[in-house]
Amino acid sequence: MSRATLFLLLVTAFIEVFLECWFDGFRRVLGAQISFLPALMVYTGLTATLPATCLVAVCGGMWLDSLSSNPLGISILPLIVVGWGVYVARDFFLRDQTVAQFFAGAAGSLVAPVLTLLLVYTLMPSRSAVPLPSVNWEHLPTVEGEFSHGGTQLLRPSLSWHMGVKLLLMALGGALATPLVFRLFDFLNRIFNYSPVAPSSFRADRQIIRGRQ
Amino acid sequence: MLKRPRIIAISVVLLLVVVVLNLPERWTSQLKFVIGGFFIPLFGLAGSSQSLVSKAGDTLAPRSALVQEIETLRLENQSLQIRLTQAAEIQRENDRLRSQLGIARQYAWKLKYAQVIGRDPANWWRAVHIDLGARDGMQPDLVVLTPQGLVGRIADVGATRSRVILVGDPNCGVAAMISETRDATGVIAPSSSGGFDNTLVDLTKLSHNSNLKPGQSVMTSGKGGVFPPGIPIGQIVDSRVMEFGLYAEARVKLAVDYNKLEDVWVKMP
Repeated sequence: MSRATLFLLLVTAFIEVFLECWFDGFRRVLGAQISFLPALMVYTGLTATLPATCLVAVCGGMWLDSLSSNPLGISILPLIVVGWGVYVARDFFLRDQTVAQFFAGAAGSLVAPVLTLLLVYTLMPSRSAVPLPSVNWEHLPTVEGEFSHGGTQLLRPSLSWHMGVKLLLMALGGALATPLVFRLFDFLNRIFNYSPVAPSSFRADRQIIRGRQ
Repeated sequence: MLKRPRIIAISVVLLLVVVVLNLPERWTSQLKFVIGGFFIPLFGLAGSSQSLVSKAGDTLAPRSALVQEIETLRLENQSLQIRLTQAAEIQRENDRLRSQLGIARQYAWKLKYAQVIGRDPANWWRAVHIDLGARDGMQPDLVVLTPQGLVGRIADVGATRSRVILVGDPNCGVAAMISETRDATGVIAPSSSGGFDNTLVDLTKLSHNSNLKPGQSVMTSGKGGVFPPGIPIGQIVDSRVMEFGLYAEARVKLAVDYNKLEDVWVKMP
C-alpha cells in the first residue's frame, strides 16, 4: 500500500466521521445512524499492512469519540478487531467479489457497534445510581446535579429490543457501503497511484531465432 | 502468525487505549474538544453551504408568498405585543405580592440563540452540538430550550461549540411534575418501550397514588437544581404501576421533536 492510499484512507475516515455527525438523513428515515467506518476497516484490513490498519482504527476511533458522548478511545478497539480480523483472514477472502465484500462489511458493521456497546456497558455504571422514591423527594437534586459539571461518571445507555434492530440496520447499511468503498478506492488508486505495467504479449519461449545456432 | 512489527503495532494501540480510557474525566473532556476542533472547518463549510442553499431558496420564493408571510408575522407580532403588555402588568403584580410575602423576586430569563450543527454519531446517546462555546459565555449545566419546551442541558463546553445532552438521554435526568395536579413529581428517564419513536420518554418514580391521565402536561418541577420550574416537557401518553405498586410510571411524548431540532435557546445565568 502506498502512502497516498493510506493518506486517502485517513482523509476518508475523517470526512466519514464528520458526515456521521452532520448528516441526519439515515436517522430520520431509518431511525438509526449508519456508520461507514467498519466498512472502511474491512477495506483497510484487506489491502493495508497491520500498522496502517491500526493507524486508521486509532484515528477513526478517536475522531468518532471526540464528537460523541462515548468515553474517548472506546471505539478504537472494536475497529481494530474488525480490521485485524479481516487482515488475519485476508488470504481466504475473494476480495474482488461483491458478495464477499457485502458479507465482510455486514459482519464488520455488526461486530464494531456490538463490541463498543459491550465496552460501554463494562466501563459505565447503570441507572441504579438514580435513587429510589421517597416521601419528600429530597433526593431529587442528585438526579440532575450528580451527573453534571463533568465531575462524575456517566451512566450507561439503556438497551431494549429496538437497539437490536438498530444494530441490524447498521450492519445492513455497512454491508451495502462496503462494495462502494472498494469501488471508491479502486477509482482513487487509479487516479493517485501509478498504473500497473500491462503484460507484454512477447513470450521468450515462442521466439523464432533465425540463423544457425 | 504475528511478526514482531505487528506485535509492536498491536501493543502500542492497546497501551494507547488503556491510557486514554484511564485519563481523568476533565482531561478527556478537553482532549475531546481538541480533537473535535479538527472538524471546525468542515462544520463551518457545511453551515455556509446550508445558508447559501437557504438564500437561494429565498430568492426563488414568490413575492406574493413573502408578502403573505410578512402580513401573518405582523399580526402575530401585534398579538404578542398586547400579551407582553399584559404579562408586564402581571409581572409587576407578582413582584408586589412576592415582596409583601417576603419571597425572592423572579427575574426574566436571559436567552441566547444557538444553532444545532451536529448530532451524536452513536445510536445509543441523545446529544447535539451547538455553535456556541466558552467564548460566548457557555458553561456546563446551562438549560437549553425552544419555544415548544425543554431540550436538555449543556454537558461539555469547547471554545466555539458545546455538546447538549437531550432529555431522554440516561445522563440527563430531569425532575418533573404534572402541571395540572402539581403534586405528582417524578424523574424523566429514557423510554423503556419507545421503540423507534425518540419523542417518547418515561416519567418514573411517581407516587403510586398519583392521579395520572393521558393528555396531562408535564413540566420541570425545579427540584433538581439544574432546570428552573415551569418549562414544558411534554404530555402523558399512558401510565402504569411499577414494582407491585411501589411507584407509578408514565410515558411522556416530548413537546420538542428532536428530528426537527435546528434552532435552540440557551438560558444564560
